[in-house]
Amino acid sequence: MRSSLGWCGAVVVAAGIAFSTLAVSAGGDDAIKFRQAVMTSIGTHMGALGAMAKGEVAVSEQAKWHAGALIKLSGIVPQLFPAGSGAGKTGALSVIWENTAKFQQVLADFQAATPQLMAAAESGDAAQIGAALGAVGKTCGGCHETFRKKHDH
Amino acid sequence: MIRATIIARTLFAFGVAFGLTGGWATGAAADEGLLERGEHVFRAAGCLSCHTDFARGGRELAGGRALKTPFGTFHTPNISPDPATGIGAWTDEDFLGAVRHGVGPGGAPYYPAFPYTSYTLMRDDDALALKAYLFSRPPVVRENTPHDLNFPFNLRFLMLGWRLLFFNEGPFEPLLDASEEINRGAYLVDALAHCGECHTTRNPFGAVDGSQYLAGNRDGPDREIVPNLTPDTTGLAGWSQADIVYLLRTGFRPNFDNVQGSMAEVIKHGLKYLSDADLKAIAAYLAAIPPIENTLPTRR
Repeated sequence: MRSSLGWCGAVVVAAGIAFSTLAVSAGGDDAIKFRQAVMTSIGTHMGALGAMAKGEVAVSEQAKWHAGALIKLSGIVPQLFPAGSGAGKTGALSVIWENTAKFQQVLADFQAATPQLMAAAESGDAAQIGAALGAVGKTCGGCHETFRKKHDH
Repeated sequence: MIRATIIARTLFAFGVAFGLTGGWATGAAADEGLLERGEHVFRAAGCLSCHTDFARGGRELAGGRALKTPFGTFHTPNISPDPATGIGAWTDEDFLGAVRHGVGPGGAPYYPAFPYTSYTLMRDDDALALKAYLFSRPPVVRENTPHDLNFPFNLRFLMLGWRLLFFNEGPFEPLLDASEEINRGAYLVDALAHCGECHTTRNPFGAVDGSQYLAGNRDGPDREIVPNLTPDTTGLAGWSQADIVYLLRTGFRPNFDNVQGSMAEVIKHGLKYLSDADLKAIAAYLAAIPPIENTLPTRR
């Protein structure tokens, strides 16, 4: 009787470990998908301002909404890289979790740059929006060059 | 009547200016024009990003940048005007021989990792303006690093045979049935920016495969996947010419993802300095080339 209970117990414990491992890896994939969704939304808001900067659409009050969104998004990017989200179908390089000081710096650079978009949006000037996009774009590159995979093998 | 007056006045003013500056051979005005032109060629031709080892903090134009290819790793030479370790002792003939004919001053053939196969299309006066500009930059003392190539590509004399098979010397032939803008774009793309050297697949001998012109390369320099630039749905068909100009100016794709790797360097150190008219000409030319279907894998 006791030995079979012991057996059952071992099976339950083993199953529990198996399920919790599954939960961690599912979490990893979900974290990757979520991160990519947020990055896409950053690109979309940049694109809306870009359309104004390029003269494709008129500069309007909407510029401030997109600038505000980008300021907020730049604030949450640091939370998108939980431990374990570097494995799987992601462009994030493992050096993110190895060189945290440098990574924190590029995240801070992004956050520091986005307010320029609001100033530019408030000016209503397409050229200023373009310049602000360029300045923010430098911080995109500052992270991607070091911490994201290139388009290679 | 008014027109004649304007023409006469212009000719007179020109004649005065000509006289005052002592004619063609002179001084500040001519030099400035030459250096400005040389800088334009320098930016379009992308000399800086290959001939500077930015990754390891190398000095400008001193060479040493490693270029990984399927044939081995090349290390770019010093093209600063240092007479001993750079090109400071080169004559105009040496420079034209190198850039337009792919041969060093001593007669040794270059590997086509140096895109003389494209620069051969450059006009002599553009090449010499480039030389003048390079000679105006700070000289840096740095010995060249030898290339590290796989057999048999490490046998430089084989390049002589390669040239017979694959090298078509210039000059640039204008496209007769195309606009001035498209011709300007073609010259910028083919003779200076040498886009095809990365954006076209190569055969097993390392020669560019003309039948796949600008249709991308699965295994390009630095082992990068290089995109298809032809106006096919697998290439740039979804892009407006303004999108192309914007990318060349800022490194942003239409979805505001930014370009990385070698192309980011090409833009940062070169193409972003070109005029709007130049970038528009490049975009117009890319819209006019044959569309070629070639789907390349994306990063994710």
